[in-house]
Amino acid sequence: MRSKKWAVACTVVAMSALAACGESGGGTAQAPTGGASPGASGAASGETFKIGVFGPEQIPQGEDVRDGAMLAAEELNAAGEGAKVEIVFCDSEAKPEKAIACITKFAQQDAVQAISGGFSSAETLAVLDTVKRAKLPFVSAGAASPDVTKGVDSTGPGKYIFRIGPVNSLSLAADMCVTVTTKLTKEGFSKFGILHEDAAFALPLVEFLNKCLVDPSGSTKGKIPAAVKGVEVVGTEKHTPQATDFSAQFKSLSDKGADFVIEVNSTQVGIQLGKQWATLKPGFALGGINVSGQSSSYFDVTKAVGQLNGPAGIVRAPVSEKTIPFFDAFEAKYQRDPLYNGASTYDGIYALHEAATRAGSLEADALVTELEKTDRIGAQGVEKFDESHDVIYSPTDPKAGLSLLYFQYQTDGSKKIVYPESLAEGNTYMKPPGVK
Amino acid sequence: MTSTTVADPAEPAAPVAPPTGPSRLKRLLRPNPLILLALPFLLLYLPRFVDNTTLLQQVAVGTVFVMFAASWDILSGYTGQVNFGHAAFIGTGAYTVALLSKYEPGVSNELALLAAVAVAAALGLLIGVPCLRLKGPYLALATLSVAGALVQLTFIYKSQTGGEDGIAGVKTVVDGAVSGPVGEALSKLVLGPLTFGALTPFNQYIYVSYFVTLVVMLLMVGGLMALGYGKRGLVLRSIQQDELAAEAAGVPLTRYKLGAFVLSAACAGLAGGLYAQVQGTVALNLLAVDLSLLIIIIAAFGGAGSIIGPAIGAYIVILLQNYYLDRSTDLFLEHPELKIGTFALLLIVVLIVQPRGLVPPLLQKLSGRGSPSRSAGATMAESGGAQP
Amino acid sequence: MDVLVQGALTSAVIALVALGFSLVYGVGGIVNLAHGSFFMIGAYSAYAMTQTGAPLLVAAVVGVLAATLAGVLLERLVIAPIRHQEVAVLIATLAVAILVQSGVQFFYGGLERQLPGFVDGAVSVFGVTLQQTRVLAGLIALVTIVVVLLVLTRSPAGRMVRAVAQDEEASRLIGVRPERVTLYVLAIGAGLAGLAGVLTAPYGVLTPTMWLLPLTQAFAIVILGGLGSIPGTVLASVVVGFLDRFVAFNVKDGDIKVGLVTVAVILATLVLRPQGLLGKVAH
Repeated sequence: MRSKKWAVACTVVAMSALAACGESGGGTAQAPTGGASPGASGAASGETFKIGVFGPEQIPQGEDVRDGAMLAAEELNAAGEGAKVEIVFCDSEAKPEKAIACITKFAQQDAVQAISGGFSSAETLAVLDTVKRAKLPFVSAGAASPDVTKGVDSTGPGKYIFRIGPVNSLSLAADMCVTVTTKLTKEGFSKFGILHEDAAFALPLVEFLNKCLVDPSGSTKGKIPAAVKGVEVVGTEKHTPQATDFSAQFKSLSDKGADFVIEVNSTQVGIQLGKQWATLKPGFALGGINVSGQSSSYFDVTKAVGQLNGPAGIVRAPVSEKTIPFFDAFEAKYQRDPLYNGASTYDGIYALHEAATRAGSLEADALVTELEKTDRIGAQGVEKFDESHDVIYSPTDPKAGLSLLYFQYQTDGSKKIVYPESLAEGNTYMKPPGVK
Repeated sequence: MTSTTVADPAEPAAPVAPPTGPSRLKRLLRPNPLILLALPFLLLYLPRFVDNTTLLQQVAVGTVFVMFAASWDILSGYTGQVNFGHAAFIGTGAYTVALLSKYEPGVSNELALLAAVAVAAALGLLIGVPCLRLKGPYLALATLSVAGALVQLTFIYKSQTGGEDGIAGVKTVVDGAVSGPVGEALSKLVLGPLTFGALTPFNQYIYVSYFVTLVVMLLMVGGLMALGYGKRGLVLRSIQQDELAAEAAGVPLTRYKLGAFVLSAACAGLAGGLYAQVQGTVALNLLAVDLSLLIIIIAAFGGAGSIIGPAIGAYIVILLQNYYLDRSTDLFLEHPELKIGTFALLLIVVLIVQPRGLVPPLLQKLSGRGSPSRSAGATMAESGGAQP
Repeated sequence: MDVLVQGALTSAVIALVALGFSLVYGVGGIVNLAHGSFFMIGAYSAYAMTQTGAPLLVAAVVGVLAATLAGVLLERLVIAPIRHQEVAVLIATLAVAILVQSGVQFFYGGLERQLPGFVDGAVSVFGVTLQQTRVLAGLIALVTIVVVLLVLTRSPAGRMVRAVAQDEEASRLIGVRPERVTLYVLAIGAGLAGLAGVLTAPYGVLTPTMWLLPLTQAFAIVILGGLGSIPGTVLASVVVGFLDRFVAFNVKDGDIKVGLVTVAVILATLVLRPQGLLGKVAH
């Protein structure tokens, strides 16, 4: 019967087509990946170190992941020592499922020897199980959630996971608490409000802040010294990640007498917030975590003179001897300033390469062992890992780990570091216009 | 009980036999069985011949989307209650599984799926009742709003649901079936001959996900097709064609309309829960309007009201979107938004030119039958003038 | 007081969008899910003009014209062939909205864009400090709405529109061509939405997904006010606008909950009183 022949013919054609497309489309899959990558012994010159990097290429933060990695690879290959670095980038579109598909592709089709990147906590947390299954070292370079390195140790299935930056959000919160209670109080502020993005990453941070600000020593079991002067938290307000109007929140906080409002946001909403604050001048100073505020175009749009930004991962200042050269190289190549995760991805690729050179191998377990011994100076500062493979944050000693900075926008739009004093080069905090 | 509809110029004016139970059933099924069997056969043996686990992983995603689209179709394509918020049911199933995994990890995967079905079905009942009276744009807005409300609620309770970060570390299919020594041995026995190369822990996971989703999908789609092409299916379609006439003929409207809602929700919840167990993570995208729209695009493109149309449409769209388009030109790789844009454009063209969708006419051609057995897609497109 | 002033301004702007949506439904029976796209096209076209260095006024006019043109194209290419298939129109216009979103994202990416306003800085209105662009937007919107309402009720063209809205077949008997009228109404509605986009852009952001919110708001307003009732649309706009601001200012974390409140209003209306506040029961 005609129909039967048609059906059989179609089936055969379809199967062969799919099989053909499947194989040629992505390159032949290799022998099982995992701990023993065949033929990857010895990281001598000529060997290629393939690193899979994923991130949301559609937004500026994701572009930085890609560009930071590419810059590092370029520099390393130009220097010519050790293995040649090849970056395979995969756009995760900030979607967890896409990120998981990226890792699968890295492991099965691209046969990478290590993975880096990631921007949002959502996508990073989502890929952890897949990374463990693939048994490939993963140097996370964007997510601040403490859960990334939760449960990681040197021997378990999580040993492949490292975070080279940013400092995890609990440490960020602790640092903010210290800055507010010891430094901002000296500037004369005593009534603090909190205005934060209604986002999963911000909630534990704000919760901690609320407790710590009023009783720093008690809430951290003495890790943070008691406040010099009384700090009062007059109110906490939220806004959505897509908000464009903050007049309600501003009014609420200023009615309650806030003289300084701590902001916490990571999406582009920070631009709107800064712009409205600068235009409406609600009478309080503004400062805190505003990731968009680290970009080069932020001031042009917002004219947010006097806005304090921090803890920030990176500013163009001699935080380490590598910071300014990194900034300059990034700007020369991409015509824009890097965001914090551009620097952390850059450092991540370098750290992986150095570990491979020390190990003399690209084999996963060897890389892990050497990564644990990382003690280097990167663009972010001094980078070392603790027992959970999380980068060490050192508030007091810049030689012991990463430190966090706070910069302030000046009248001319330039960014000047004001804390810590050791990096401030004499700049001090200035009261924003319209604030008493 | 034929409605007065605009004649489709593409179809010859062949006589259409009146709908009489079994003979029409046979007519509809007879051209298809070989083709219908070809697809499951193809899918079952794909891993044997295709050595590309990245592709297979996306085929598995496609399989899940088949379930999404088929469950939508039995409601919207058949009864004409077009659901613009189908993601609500999917996300409910997914989050049920994820929350159980997070708070009650002792609950087995199978039990979690049952829970997902139950909760989603309950939601279907909850929504279906007030929606009985709504039609067309009103129903569209209501279903859209319910999905939107669920998104808002997920945000508000973000400490439990993880908000926009979602929940990671959900117990996966592998954690259930394959972990113990019996499971291991069994999977090696079964997977061995069905897969290409050596089994590693990494690709074993992909294979298990692939086959589990395939089996569930075949059962679900088989069941829905049996329903849709059977007597009850005819009743459902009659509701879409002319509700008043159907009621006058004695059809218990409420039971059928509500039943379709609940069935649609239950199936979507199962699919959503399974998806969570395959990906190991859930996030808001499973409740978002984007997902609802994508399903509508898939179903309308494939041919609403035929179950098999949306099923094939799902594979086409998902494989193109997640795999083939990325590898075709750099354009799609650098601008992923063009993919959904292309699908939207194709859908517009299809709606204007061939409202029955792509698959039913194709199947008709393959079976050598020229006479049209109206798929509900056409009737869905043609039924207008709905009153609030 | 904040609620009153801001509520008035918000209501005026969203009424602009809702009016176009309502007219198109009243006249053509068409639920155009791409209505929010006109809003977006207006804003992005104006932005594109400013990028070429054109003065703001020119950019604004271009924005409105671009949106109007989009309305014409939509009607001629997509809606006309499937006018009487209600569900197909819903799905097709939704697909158009997605298509437009992809296009915008292709050209402008995911980065949020800013449109400079005609005026800068803040101003105090009845003791409430507001951005000047916002006040200007509200005033222009108000004037436009008044003009549109006057045209609808007093002019011969308006009478024609209302005739078609009331009874399409009967209006054909007196020599009116409903298809033509639908085209004009859709174009004008698109232009109004585009104007709203141009007006609000300076104090907001431009993103490729900015079409969804105006659409859902317009839809909610039209359902609340009653599909096919112009006074209902205006009334509902006021209600929704004030409700939005009220919740934002007076409810704890109101900004977050506004979305839920809007949804609740929609669902309540659909379930309890589907014809809305002032709508007729059957179309």
